Amino acid sequence: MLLLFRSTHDVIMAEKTLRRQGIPRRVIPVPRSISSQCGMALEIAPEDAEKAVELLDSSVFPGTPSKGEAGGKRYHIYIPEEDR
Amino acid sequence: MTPAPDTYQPGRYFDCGATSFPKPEEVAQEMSRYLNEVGGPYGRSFYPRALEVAGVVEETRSLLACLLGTGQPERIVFTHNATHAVNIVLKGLSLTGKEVWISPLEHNAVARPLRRLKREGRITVRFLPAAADGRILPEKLSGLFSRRTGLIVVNHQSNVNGVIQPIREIKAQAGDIPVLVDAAQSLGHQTIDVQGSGIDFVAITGHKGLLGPTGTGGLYLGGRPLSPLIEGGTGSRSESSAMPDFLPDKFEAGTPNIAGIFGLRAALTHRPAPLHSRADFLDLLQAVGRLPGIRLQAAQSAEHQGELFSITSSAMDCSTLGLRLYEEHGIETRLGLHCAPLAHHHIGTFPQGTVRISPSVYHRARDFKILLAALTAISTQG
Repeated sequence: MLLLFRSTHDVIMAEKTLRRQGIPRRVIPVPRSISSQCGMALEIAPEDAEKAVELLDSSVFPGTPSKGEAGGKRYHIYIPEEDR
Repeated sequence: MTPAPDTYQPGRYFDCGATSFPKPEEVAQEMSRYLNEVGGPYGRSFYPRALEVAGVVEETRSLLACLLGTGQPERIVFTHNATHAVNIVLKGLSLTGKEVWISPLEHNAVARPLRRLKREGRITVRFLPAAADGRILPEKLSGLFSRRTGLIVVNHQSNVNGVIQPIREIKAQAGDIPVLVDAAQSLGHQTIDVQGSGIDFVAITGHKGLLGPTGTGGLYLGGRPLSPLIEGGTGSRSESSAMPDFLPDKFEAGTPNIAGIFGLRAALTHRPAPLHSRADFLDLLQAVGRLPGIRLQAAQSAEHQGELFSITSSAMDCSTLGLRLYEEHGIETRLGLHCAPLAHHHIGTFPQGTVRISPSVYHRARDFKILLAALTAISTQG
């Protein structure tokens, strides 16, 4: 699963939160097929995806992320509607 | 608080109001580590080097947010210095047709942009009522402000006489009118709580009281609408030729001073405990005030005194006094108007200026004794 954010600040907030909870994540470039947002996206293994999303939704980025699927992978975009 | 190593001696450098020295040793170490080992950009790439840089920048942002009492680090944007931060506010707020109220102790960082706006016929500038030392009188603010008031600007700690302004009380009187606090001299010495006080903007610098490197600064942004001062690449919304309208990207076009921010983080996380007490400083102030022919420029009350002050001599001008302090005693001070002519007009030292004494947290009581002995020698010799 991929997690995308609107700014580097938000990526680092999310990365730090997942790291503190011991959730493995991989930092990858934002896939061009999904967004032109900032340089980093977080990739989470399928078995950790639910926990990661629940954590971010409940603490760091309250609200509903935009959801989709590209290249066989699910993704969440944590960007307010007006900034997408 | 980190204990200061014995090697870190400011000696006879009393010009920390210009820029603090020494810095915690970790400041240079971290800057060097970034330049020589880490490298990499902020917010433009994905590889581990870039992630480390982004992590340090964001941690520094969070540390500054914590220092200012906000739980929203994205409301801190990095700037080159406090002057840059002040200009973002003065030129980004919609002030046309408005009046701007300022303290009589404002630095040219505020006075010059305002003068330009005034000459362009966009604003009027008015002075807040103040005591002889320049401290604002909050009890006299009632009824001064109107719908025409667009902004109130207050220099939190004067860079001339060290007066600390009652910013919380001023904001309480201002109500919905935005208040910009210039915290260039105060941060690192005085507490600012933006959440508790409701202050709208705080301009900060990294290289004075925070003990970080030059070229680092920041601006706290409350919820007021503000246009960016400069526009350019941010690494975000790259498909659009418009600046992002979210924080912090809206005010951070271009690559930031990453080496400086590494140093600033080190300063914030290795802050030394002061090597002198408040009583040591106040004893120095009192003793200087008693010297023959020396006139002290300081707060009327010790309670409102920050850790710097100015002096003038009845026997010589400030250039001579400053030169003699250096040539006869090796003591380094700042002379003249300190980029704050308004303040000197108010306290009666314009245009001759003053000699400013601004100690370091690393100074010990014995260093103050050396300074006092030098001033005593010069004032008694005439």
